[in-house]
Amino acid sequence: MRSRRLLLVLVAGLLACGSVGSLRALENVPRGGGSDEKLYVPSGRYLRQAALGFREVAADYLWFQTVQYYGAYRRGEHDLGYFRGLLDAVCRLDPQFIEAYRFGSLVLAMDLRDLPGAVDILKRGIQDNPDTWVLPFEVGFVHYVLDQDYRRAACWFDAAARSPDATDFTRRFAAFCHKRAGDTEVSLLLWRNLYETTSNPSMRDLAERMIERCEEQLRARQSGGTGGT
Amino acid sequence: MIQRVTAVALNTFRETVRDRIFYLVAIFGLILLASSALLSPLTIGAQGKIVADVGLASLSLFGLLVVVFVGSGMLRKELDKRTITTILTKPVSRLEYLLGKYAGLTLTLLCMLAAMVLLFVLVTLVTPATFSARYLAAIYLVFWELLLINGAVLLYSTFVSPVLAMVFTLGLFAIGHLSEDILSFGQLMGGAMQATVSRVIYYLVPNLEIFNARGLVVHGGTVSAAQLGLATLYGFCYTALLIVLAAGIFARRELK
Repeated sequence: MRSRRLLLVLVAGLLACGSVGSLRALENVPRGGGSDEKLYVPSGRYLRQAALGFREVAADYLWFQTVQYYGAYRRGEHDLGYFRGLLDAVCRLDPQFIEAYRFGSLVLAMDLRDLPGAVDILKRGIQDNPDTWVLPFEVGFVHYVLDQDYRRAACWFDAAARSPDATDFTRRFAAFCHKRAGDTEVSLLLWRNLYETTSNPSMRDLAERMIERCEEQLRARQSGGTGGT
Repeated sequence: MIQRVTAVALNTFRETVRDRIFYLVAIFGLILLASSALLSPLTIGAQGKIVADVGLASLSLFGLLVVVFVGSGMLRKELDKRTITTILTKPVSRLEYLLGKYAGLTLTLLCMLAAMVLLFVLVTLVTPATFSARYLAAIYLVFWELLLINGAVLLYSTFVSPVLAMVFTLGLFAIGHLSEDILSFGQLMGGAMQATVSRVIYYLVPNLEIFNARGLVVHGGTVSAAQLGLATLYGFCYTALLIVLAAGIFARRELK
């Protein structure tokens, strides 16, 4: 009886070692898939039906994937080719996921140089979340800082300031934008606000770099004797 | 009548407890902790939302698992063991027996949900997520959804095997969450006939989406009193209808 039990333990141990060993060996074998698997992410419209009553959790899972996918891009593993598909799926599954719109629009604008795409995703967010100041403010931000279209930026900052939950900051910005269009100091304030309000490390990293750039420009202008307005 | 129904219900509750159903609560706790602690580096900017999403969705999912797996085999077990004949020879009618079974599983669900909500509140205390009173409305609606599913599984278990009852119930759960799309498809197809057929199907199958307010409350919205009241009325009427149908079928069933 005892020897039989010992044999059972031995066999179980061997099988466990075999499964762990083969799995470890498989890690070093190149397999298909990798980032290409994002190619098979179904459209958000389909996922919305397929997730049944669990759309928000499905959106959260795809959000993890999106964040990891962006992290891999920052490590130079791919060119963000499937980012739009992932972002679209997240936003369709959970149209109230404000952070996804904010992060997605910044990546589209800064990394993929797709300003119309960035504005489009934010406008889609505004349609589903008409009462928040965050998204119109982001559109203004994209137009002001990245597009340098100050007239449009001012319109969007105004829209943000009119939102029911608008803060003093948004109202101040709407006024700033009308008076000081094209001013680097205003850009600096916008980036600082983003840096202070986001809990997303990637966005904070981006904002930090832009703050440094704006500060350099301001220093250069001051040493050149032109000074800021 | 109430005494007899209560006796069957308490017995059903004890049976499910003996089946170690409450182990699921521990798994629920682990999932919640994992979603908040282990996944936190990946949830950039959205940790609170994700903990709340996972918590509320798990409440619904584990409730569904309990109803489907326990409910589908409830009657068959008693038929196989022949304990049902002993009960029905006593002054317990078939309707009372079915109501007792339904109430017993409901009591199990209630206890499980209460334990899971307590765990959920504890997890929100140690994570960036906050437990808002708004969540209670969503949990209340989840409970009504599960009551309706409980009625459906009771109905199926009166005339098909446990496996088929399980499949039918899960199918009904899927259709119930797509019923509004059936209506839209019918309207998109254009013809008056298609629109009418889709509308009839829409009213026949349960609309489970009206019990889904999880996304709304997590994003700071509130469930209106009208929505709560009407969803309760709908849930009550549909569930009662399912129990009446189940009683009708069970009354004609020959017990060998």
